[in-house]
Amino acid sequence: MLTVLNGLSFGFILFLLASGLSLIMGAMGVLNLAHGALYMVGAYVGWSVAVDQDASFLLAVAAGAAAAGLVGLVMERGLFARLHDRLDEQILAAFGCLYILTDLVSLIWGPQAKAPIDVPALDGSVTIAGFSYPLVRVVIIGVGIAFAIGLWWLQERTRAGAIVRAGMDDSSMVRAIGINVELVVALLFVVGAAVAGAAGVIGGLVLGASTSFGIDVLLLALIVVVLGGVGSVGGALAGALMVGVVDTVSRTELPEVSSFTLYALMTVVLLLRPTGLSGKAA
Amino acid sequence: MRNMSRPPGELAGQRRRQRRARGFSLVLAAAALVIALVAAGCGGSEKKSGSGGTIKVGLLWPFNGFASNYGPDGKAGVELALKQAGMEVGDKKIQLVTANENVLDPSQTLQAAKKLVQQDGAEVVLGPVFGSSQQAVGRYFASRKVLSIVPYTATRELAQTGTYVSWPSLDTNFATPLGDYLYDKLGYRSIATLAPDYVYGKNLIEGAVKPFVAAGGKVAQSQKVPLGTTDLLPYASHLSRNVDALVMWLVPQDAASFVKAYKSLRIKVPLIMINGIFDPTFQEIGSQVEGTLGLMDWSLGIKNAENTKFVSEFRKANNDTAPNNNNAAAFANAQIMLAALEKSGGSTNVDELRKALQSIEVQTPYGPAKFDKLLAGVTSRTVVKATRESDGHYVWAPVETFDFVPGS
Repeated sequence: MLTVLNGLSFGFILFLLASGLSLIMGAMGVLNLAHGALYMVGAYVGWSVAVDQDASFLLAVAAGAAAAGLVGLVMERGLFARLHDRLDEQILAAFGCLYILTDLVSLIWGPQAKAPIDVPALDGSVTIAGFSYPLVRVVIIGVGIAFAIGLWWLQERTRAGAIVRAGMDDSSMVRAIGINVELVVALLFVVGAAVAGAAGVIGGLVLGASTSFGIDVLLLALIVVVLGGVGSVGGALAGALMVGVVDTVSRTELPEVSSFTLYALMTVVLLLRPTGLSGKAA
Repeated sequence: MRNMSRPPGELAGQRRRQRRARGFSLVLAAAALVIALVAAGCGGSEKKSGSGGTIKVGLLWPFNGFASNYGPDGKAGVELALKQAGMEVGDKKIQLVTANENVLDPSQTLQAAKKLVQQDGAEVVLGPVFGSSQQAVGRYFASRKVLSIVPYTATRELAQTGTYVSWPSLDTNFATPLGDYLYDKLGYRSIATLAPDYVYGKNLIEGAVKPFVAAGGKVAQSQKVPLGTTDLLPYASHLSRNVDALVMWLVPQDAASFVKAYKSLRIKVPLIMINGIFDPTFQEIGSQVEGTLGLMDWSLGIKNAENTKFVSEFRKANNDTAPNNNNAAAFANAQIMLAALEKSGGSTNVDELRKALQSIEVQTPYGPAKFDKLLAGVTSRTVVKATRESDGHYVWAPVETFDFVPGS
């Protein structure tokens, strides 16, 4: 029971991280390998606001999201808008951004990792099925569920979501009916970056902040998107929860094989469903 | 915003999307594998050694990358020791040359080591710090007969090359005093252990476990954390509650995450931290570990004359900044190097330095130190307790010190 809960709470952190990456890929065809670095930027900015400035955690989340969104805006306007449909260049540019952002963070905050953010109001625990469970993890699961519903509603039930979906199908047609696709794409990139930044701060409650996040969490986010399928909120959620639970269970129950469990899972899913669990296509 | 339904007849669009998705999935899978490999890490002109009156000392510590704080920390410690010695030993001047230890790419560290020795002319080397780097350069130093002093233990295999000075001991011997302390002083009979799933972590924990089991204790659970683990909560929730204590070592960032998870689960099993959490992380989570016991080789709170002098001199030289573990390790390593050179009459010949090391006793901030046949340190360990001082800072305060702990 506790192991599954642990997996779910980790899975929801991964969902917050990977949903932005999945939507950006689905809508724009951009493989943003600097997405983990945006998570890292959010984590450090949020840590500074919550710990150094002793401000409220909500303000820290807003600051982390704003900082990552701003960096995302610069990346989109400065690079990806100019590299449309050029996958090789996009990957190289994104890797460059990853290294630059990691070095900048290291320069500003130092190379040493930061301890998890301590929010006294979330310090307690709750009893679930007779087990004591950290309140902060329950809150993360709740935030993840709220985020999933919000993103699904935005994508499936709003005009903005319809434009994004239409852009995934046929961007020329969307342009032809007078919609500024470039603006929509830029906004989506910034929102995806901001969600990654917010995820960095929320994840910072249990993981802290580290300059290794740029690579470490990107790897997990990519596995989530491969499993879930690109451009789908539901797919990202399913993929994230699967990664969270499988990774957590294998680490405690099958530690000898836990290092490659996720890769085995990814291989099996790709063999059975080449477009991911959701079956959705970008 | 109003609801919009999907337009009919999306078949062509769906096919396009299917094709794109397959392409993306393969690219993503390839990217994930490449990143996994990256994350896992995977001779020029001849030596211009110090001229007759100068000995060149190399410092091979990380100056770039995620451990880039180590290099400057180490340099500050070494410079203080050299300054105290007047930048000379006997009638020879000492010159410090630095090189970068690349923590993620041991082959780059090997290149840096070759340059340090063959081009910069280093005759004695301080470092490298990390095990993977030590493995990469061990054979090279042995072939060049260059003595190297490593700050955070070495494996027995490396020590057997005969050119490695392992400080403060071999990795297997770091925590040996803890086993008897747990059994005899604390009365524990059953423990759980937690360590990273690689050689250093395993050997460190084994050092404590062996004497504990020999005394009659039992290890009821042994958890190993694979490299790349992000979330430590599963290891806390999986911990057996029927043990007397959890003996653990994790890198400071992971240790901080683990402690937070541990406390939030309200686990009552006492934590025993081997070489626990260092500053600045220790100050960030001090309130969560207050009262926790641990075993350390050095801490700011250790009370001996040499440590008092070291802390005071370091503060004077560094704008009142207190020294950290890296500063202390590098300082002690430089002291050892100077003492060995003094005894050898300024000779950097590895055989003479080895003979010198085995016949000296050096007063370090850790305590008095000798060296055994494998050149492993025989020095002090201290049982410490995380304590809040009156100014709000946290220190690992000494509880009991063990001198001349066997090094191998």
